[in-house]
Amino acid sequence: MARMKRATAPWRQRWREPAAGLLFVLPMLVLFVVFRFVPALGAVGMSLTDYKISGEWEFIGADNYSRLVGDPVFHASLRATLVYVAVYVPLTVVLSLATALLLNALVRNVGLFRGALFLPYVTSFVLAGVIWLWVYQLDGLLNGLLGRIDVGPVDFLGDTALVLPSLAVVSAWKGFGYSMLILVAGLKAIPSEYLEAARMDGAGPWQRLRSIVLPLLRPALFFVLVVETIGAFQVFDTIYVMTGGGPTRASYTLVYGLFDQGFRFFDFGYAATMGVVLFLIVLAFSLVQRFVLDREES
Amino acid sequence: MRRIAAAGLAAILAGTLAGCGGDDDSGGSGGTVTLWMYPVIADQAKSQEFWAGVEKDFEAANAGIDAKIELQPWEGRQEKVTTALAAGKGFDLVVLGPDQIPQYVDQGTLEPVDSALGGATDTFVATSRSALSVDGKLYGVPIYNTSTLPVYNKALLDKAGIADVPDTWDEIKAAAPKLAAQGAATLSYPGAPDETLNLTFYPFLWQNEGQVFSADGKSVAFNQPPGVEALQFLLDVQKAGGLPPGTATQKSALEGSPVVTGKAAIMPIAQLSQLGPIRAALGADKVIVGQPIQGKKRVSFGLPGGVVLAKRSENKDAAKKLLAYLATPEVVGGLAKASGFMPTRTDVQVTGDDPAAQQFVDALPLLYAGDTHPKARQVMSVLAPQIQAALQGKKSAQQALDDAAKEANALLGTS
Amino acid sequence: MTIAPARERTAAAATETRRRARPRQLWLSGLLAILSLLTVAPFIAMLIVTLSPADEPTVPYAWPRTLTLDNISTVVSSSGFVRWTLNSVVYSVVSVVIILLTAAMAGYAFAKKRFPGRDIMLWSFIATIMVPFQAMLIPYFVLVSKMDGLDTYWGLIVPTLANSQAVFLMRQFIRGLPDELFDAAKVDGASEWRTFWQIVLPLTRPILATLGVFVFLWHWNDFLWPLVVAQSGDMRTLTVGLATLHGEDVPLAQLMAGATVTVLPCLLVFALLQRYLVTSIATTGLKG
Repeated sequence: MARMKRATAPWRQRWREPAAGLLFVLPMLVLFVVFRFVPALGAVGMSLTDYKISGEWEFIGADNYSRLVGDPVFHASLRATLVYVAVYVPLTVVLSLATALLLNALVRNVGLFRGALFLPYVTSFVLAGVIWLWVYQLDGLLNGLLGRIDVGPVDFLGDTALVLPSLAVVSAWKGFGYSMLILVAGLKAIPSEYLEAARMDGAGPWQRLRSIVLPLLRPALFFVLVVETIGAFQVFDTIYVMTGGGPTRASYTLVYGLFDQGFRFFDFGYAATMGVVLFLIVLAFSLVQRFVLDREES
Repeated sequence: MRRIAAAGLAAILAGTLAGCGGDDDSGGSGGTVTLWMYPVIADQAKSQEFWAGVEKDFEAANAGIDAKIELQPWEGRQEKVTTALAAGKGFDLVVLGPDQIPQYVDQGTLEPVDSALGGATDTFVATSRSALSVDGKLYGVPIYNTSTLPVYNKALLDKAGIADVPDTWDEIKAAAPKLAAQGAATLSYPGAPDETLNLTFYPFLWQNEGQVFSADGKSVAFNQPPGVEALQFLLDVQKAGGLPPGTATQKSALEGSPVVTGKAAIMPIAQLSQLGPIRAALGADKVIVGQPIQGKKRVSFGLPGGVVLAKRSENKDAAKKLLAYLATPEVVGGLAKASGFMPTRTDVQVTGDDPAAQQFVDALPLLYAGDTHPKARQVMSVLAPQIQAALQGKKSAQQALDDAAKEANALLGTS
Repeated sequence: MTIAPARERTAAAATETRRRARPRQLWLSGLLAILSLLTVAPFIAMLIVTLSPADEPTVPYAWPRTLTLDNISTVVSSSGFVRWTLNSVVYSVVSVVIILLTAAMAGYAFAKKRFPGRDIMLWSFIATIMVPFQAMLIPYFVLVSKMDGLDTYWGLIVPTLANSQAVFLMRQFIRGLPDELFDAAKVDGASEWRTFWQIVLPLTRPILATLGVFVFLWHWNDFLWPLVVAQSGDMRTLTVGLATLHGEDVPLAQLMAGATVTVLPCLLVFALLQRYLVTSIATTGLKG
C-alpha cells in the first residue's frame, strides 16, 4: 500500500493540472470558437457596415453606433427592457426558490407536484399567449374577478404603465420551472447532516434557511440569477405573441427592436449594432452580479 | 467495461453525424430548379398532390430539367428566405407578397420576370401585376390573389332594426347608435400595433381616396385630409359606441374576437377562408357577405402572391421556364380551385364549393393591394402605434397622423 | 449529562420530527396544489382545444359542443410525420449525450482545475449567451452553409452543441463538491479521466439529469434553426414539419394538436428522468 503509486518528476506534476484542465475544456472550446465566437465576430463586423443580404456591403465605421446613440426609439426600448427586467427577475427568482423549498420539504407526491409546476415551461408560447390574452382582456378572467369586488376594468395590456409588469408575469409563469428544477437539484446537494445537526441544536426553519441553506445554495442561486437576467434582457417571444411591441411601443424591448430592424426593415447592420450594444449592457450587469455574489475564495 | 461502452457510443455518434444527411442537392449542375412554395392550399394532402402534379407535368414537357417544389411553412418565412439569400443557397424561385418584393428588390436580390409571362401580359389582372412591380418592372409572376369582403351578422342587424346591410360610410355611422342601443358594436377593428394595416386602416383610407405615400414615394400622404377624415370616421363610429371596448389592443385572430362572439355586427375585411369559423359560431344563415364598403369609392384589400426569381440563381434559364409554366391557365386555375383563392388570369373560370366564392371573385376589380414601396412595412410599424393612440383617446386624428408622418418621413429620409 | 449514543439520538429525533411534520406536510401539499392549479389549468385547456372541432368556438371562451380526435389524427397521419419525429429524436438525443459529456468535462475543468486563462475563458463562454440569436442568425447560417453543413445531420446538431448554460451549470455544481475527494483521488494515483468518470459524474447525477431534461427540451422544441438548416423535406424536425401543415388562417385547434403531439415526448423524458432528479448526494462514506 505504497503512498505514491507512481514516482512523478516535479515538473510533470506541475504541468499535470493545467494540461488536464485544458484537455477537458478542449472539446467545448473548439465548438465555441467555431460556432459562437466566429459568428459573433461576424455580427460585430456587420455592425460596422450597411450589410445587404445580396452580400454587398460598405464599411461605414461607427455610423450605426452614432445613429443608435441618438435614436429615441432605441432609448425607449432600453427603458422598457430595464423595467421588464426589474419586474421579471425578482419575481422569477422568488417564485422558483419558493417552489423549490416547498418541494424539498414535501415528503410524498413530490414528483407529481414537480411535474405539475414544470408544465408551463414545456408548453408552447402560442398557447401561453392565447390563455394569458384571455386572462388579461378587458372582459377576461382577471377583470371578471376584479369586477366582483367593484374594481376596474383594468386594461392590463393596453395601459402603457401596466403592460410591462403584465408581460413579466406571463414570462415568469412560463419560465420559472427551469430555475425551480435547478434550485431543487441544488437543495438536494446540501448534506442532510448539516440540517439535522442544526435542527437538533434548536435552529428554527427560517434560521436554518438563512444560515445553512441559502449560503450553500449560493452557486445555484448565482447561476439562476445570471441566466434569468440575461434571458430577461433578451425577451422576445412573449412580446411577439402578446403585444407586438405595443401599446404605442410601450413593450418594444431591445431584442424585439433588433428583430424589427433586421427582419422587417432589412437593416442588418443596424440590427447587429443593437446586438453588440445589448451584449455590452448585459455583460456589465453580469459582471456586477459576479463580483457581488461569486467572489472567488482563493 | 464502461470505457468500452463510451467508445462504442462515440463511434455510433460519429457515424450518425458523418454519414447521414438529406437529399444531395446537386444545385449547380445545370438542370435543377428549386421552387419554395407555401401552404397556399391549406390541406396538406391536396397541396402535395397538386404541386407533385405540377412538377411532373413540367418535367414531362421539359426533358432534362429537374424541378423541385419544396413546401415551406408560413412561420419563420422571413428568416428562412433571408438566410437563404444571404448564403446564396436554397432556392431559385419563391413565393413573395407585394409588401416584401420592394424590400428584396431594394437589397438587390431579385431578377425582373416580365419575360416569363410569355407576352400574355394583358390576360393577367392589372392590379395583381402592378402590386408585384417595382419601377415598372415586374418582379413576381402573380399566381393567386386573395380577396376580402365585409361580412355581416344578420342576427344583430335584425335586432337593431336595420334592414339593408350598411355598406357605405354614412350607413355605418347611422347604424352605430341603433346597434349600440342593443348592446352591440358595429365594426370590429383589430387595433393591436403589430396587425397589418392592410386589413384595418388602409382600406378605409383608400375608400376615402387617400394614399399612404405621395406620388413620388419620397414622403407619406396619410396625414392629408383624406387620411384624417378616414381616421376621424373610425373615431366617430367609436364615439357612437360602434367599436368594441378592447379595440385598441384587439388582435386579428378569430378566436374570441368580437365578430365570432357576436359582439360586433360588421367585419369590414374578411377572407373567404374565415367564413367557415364565422358561420360555425353565428349560424350559417346569419352570415351575409357584402360588397366592398364605399367611402368615396368602393375598395377592399386583395393581395397577389407572386413567384420571384433570385438573382443569385445558378440556373436562370430553367427557372424562367418553370416560371412561365406556373403562369399558364392550367396551373393558375388549378391553384385557385384547390386553394380557394382567386385566379390572377382573366381567362380562368372558377367554380368553388362555397356559394360566397363567386362574390369574392367578382370583387377582384375593386381590390387594391396597397402601395408597393420598399419602406411600406416600416411606415406601417410607425403608423400603427399612433392610430392605436388615437383609438385610446390619447390623440386627435390629426395629431396622431401628423406624429406618425413626422416619424415616417424621417424614415424615408434615411436611405 | 448522559449522552445517548449518537445513532439513537438521531433516530429518536427523526421520529419526533416526522410526527410533528404531518400537519405541516398537509399544509405544504395544499399550498403546492393551489400553485399547481395555476400551472396545470392552461395545459388542460390545451388538451381541450386539441380535442375541439377546428372551426368552432372553444376554451377559454366557451365550452366546446363536442370532442373529436380529428385534429390529432390529421397531425399524426400527415405524410412525413414519422421522418420528422425521427429527425427530432436524433437531433435531441445526440445533442443530449454529447452536451452532457463535454459540458461536464469543461465544467469540471473550470471548477476544479487551474490553468492559464481559465476565468476569461469561462466568462467568454457565458458572454456568448448575451448576444441575442436573432442578431447572429445570418453570420451563423452563412458559416454553416460555407462548411457545407446545410441539410445534414451534423450541420443541424454540431453548431448547437456549444451550450454555455450547460457548461456554466456544471461548473457551479462541481464547484460544490469537496476538494478532499479530489485530493484523495490524486493521492491514490487515479488518472484524471478516472477521477472524472468515477467521482464527478456519479456525484453530479441530479444536475446531469436536470440538464439532460433541459437540453432535450431545447432541441426538441427548437424551430428556427432546424427551419433554416433543412433544405429538403427529409431533414425537417417535428416542429418544422408540423408547421408546414398550417395554412394561412390556421385554426387554433390544429395548432394545439401539433403542440400536444410535440409535448408528449418531453413529458415522457421528464417522467423517465424524474427519479434521478431526486437522488440526494451523501458525501460521507465515499471512498476516494
